[in-house]
Amino acid sequence: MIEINGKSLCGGGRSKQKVRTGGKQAGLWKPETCFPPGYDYESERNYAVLLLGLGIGLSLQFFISLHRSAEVLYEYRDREWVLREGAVAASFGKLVTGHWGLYVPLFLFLAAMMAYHYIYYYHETRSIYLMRRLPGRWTVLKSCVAGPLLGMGLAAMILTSLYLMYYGMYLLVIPGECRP
Amino acid sequence: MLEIKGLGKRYYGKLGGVEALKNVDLTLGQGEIVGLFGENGAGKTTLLKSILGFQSYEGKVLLDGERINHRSIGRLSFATCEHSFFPNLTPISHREFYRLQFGTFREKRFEALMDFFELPMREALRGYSTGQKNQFEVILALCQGADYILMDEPFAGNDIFNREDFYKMLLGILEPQETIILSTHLIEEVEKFVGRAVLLHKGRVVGDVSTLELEEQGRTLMGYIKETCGYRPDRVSRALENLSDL
Repeated sequence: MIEINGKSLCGGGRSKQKVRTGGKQAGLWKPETCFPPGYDYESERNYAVLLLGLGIGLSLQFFISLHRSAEVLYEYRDREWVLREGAVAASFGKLVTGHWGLYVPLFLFLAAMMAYHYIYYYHETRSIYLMRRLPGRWTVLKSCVAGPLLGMGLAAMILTSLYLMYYGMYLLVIPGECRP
Repeated sequence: MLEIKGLGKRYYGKLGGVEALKNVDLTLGQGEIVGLFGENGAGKTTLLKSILGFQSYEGKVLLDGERINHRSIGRLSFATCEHSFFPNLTPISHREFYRLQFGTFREKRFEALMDFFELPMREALRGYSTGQKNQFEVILALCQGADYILMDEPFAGNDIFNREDFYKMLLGILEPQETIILSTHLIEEVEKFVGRAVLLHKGRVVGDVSTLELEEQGRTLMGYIKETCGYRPDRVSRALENLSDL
């Protein structure tokens, strides 16, 4: 892991770009330790959050599918809604079929960023020459993959929690005898 | 001791292979200041990059008898005209980075050199002028705490006064175990600075001489290089003659 100690400093003089510092400071973990030194990881993080948000937003259509699936289980008889005899709802798996496709752009983006991090070392200067001279054998590799892998892990955790919640909703809405 | 044994490098292109280095043998002892000279394409940069392990090669590069690996690579530093720093970071951030990565980082030397060259500590390096970037690149190489400091045209773009300052400063600060391998075209300028001159011509070592030896023989480094590389002084006049005939 690349560890740079540093404070946030403002770029002055001719440089109008952000001055990047970052790393481990007094034992505090900082996200920039997972990225190439000086890399604008915030933009990457923002794009990843946007793609995750879009995926989650689109996944909300699950509630429409759930509603439709529950609706057909009941019939209106003698002024009340009763379960149809032998009615079977769609499985949870079927309701979320196709949802995985919503997150493909996010994971593809993060995978592409691994390659981009390596290309970054050839941008403007050849900082790859410095990175390849570091005593840490895996430093270059870690700086390229750690951030995106962390992003993938976090996204996987968020999606697992989300789909557990969806499953909870499914159990709550679909009566046991109607589940396949 | 840095030993280069039978080093060969071939580049493959559309038109076939080009031998950039052919069977190069060199031994560089600690404390030497070695100038690496040769025409464009002679193989100077290829040699330096091979020593650093940036590219594959035939032969061996040994540091104190062992192949260079991740444990010993920190004993080599590199200053290149392509620059190897992070353009978005400030010198302060580089200092922190080097301090964490290289246990041998010479902080006092870093501060002193930054101060001497009046380089702003809190400005991102992309805002530096070319000359300042070169200075900073060399400062990093000198302050890493490496035993072998490899420099590839480090002063390209710096003015003469600046370069003079650097040579003097280098001679003043180098410690006995520090070795400099300087690849440059500024032959006359570094003549008084280097103790040994290695000449590359078409990928081969064609000359290896101490500057003291040359001095004793009453020869200049430039003269030696021209002679060894087969420079033809009449080439220009002949070409001009031919042109005037047209």
